[in-house]
Amino acid sequence: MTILLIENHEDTVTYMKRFLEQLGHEVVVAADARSAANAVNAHRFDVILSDIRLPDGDGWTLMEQIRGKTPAYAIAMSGLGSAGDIVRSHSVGYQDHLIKPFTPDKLREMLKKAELVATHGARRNLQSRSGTSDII
Amino acid sequence: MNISSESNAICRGLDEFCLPAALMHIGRDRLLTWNRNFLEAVGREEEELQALPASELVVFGASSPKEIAECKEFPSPIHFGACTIRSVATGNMLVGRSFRREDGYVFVMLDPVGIESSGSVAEAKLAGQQLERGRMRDALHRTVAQELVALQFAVAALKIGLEGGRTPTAGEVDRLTGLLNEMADSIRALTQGTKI
Repeated sequence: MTILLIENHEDTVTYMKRFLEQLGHEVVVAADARSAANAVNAHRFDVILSDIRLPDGDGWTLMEQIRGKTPAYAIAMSGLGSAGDIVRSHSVGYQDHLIKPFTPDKLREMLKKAELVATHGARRNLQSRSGTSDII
Repeated sequence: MNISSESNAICRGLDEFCLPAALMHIGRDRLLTWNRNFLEAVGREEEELQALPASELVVFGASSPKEIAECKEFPSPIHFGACTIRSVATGNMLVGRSFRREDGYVFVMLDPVGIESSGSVAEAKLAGQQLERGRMRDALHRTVAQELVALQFAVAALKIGLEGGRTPTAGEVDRLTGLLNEMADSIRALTQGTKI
């Protein structure tokens, strides 16, 4: 999958990118909200993995701006983990909310979910174009 | 060393703020100076206070080592503590603060309206605790949580590499050690209060 990683902590970017690439994904990094919005305009991503605290804004406002432009499965990453924060993430368009620190296995699990959703979506699109459907 | 005239003046001057205060000496077991508000709070006459042993009036709580301060103006440490004084006027125990020098002189200040136990103090404490929790959470997120995520992914990436038969370089292991050291530094700074 093609993943947009929006994160400004240098070490986290280095190792998360390496991990994701080792899993076979293609990773594009954006260190702030502005470059993330530009990346979404320029490329098609399967997954958006975004920190909530960004140097030039927050991941919630960013998602409100880009949600209409991308069908990507979006995962918020944040040290903020109150029920209110999670609800806010979902309400702006994130499908999942990871509370930092989280394990690589947890991320891998969510990426599998994203892959399933992406495959399912692609199949559904294909079937709706051909006029058949096996989706209940 | 005797008590200075300034200390006596402060004790009396606190009347201007309705704060009951007195100066006493533990070894001599006598009250030395007090102000009008102190007299009214304990419900005694001047003569009674002059005659009564201080230990019959004031009860000191134990002061912990954390409540000892060194000050430049006086050569020996000051012990901060709580004290109670029975009020003949109300029959209640009045709560106060005591500031004891090691030569036996004690400055006693009473809480005339029970500020310590009032709702406003509880609210202020709660607000302070919430503020502190927020600052701590923020500091933890900015430092330890972020470094831990990096470390977890560094180890996971290393593991995948090893499973694929790739030997990690000394530089990669050094970087892991560096991340661990940064985390240790952050935790130390947080626990010592230098990073919030």
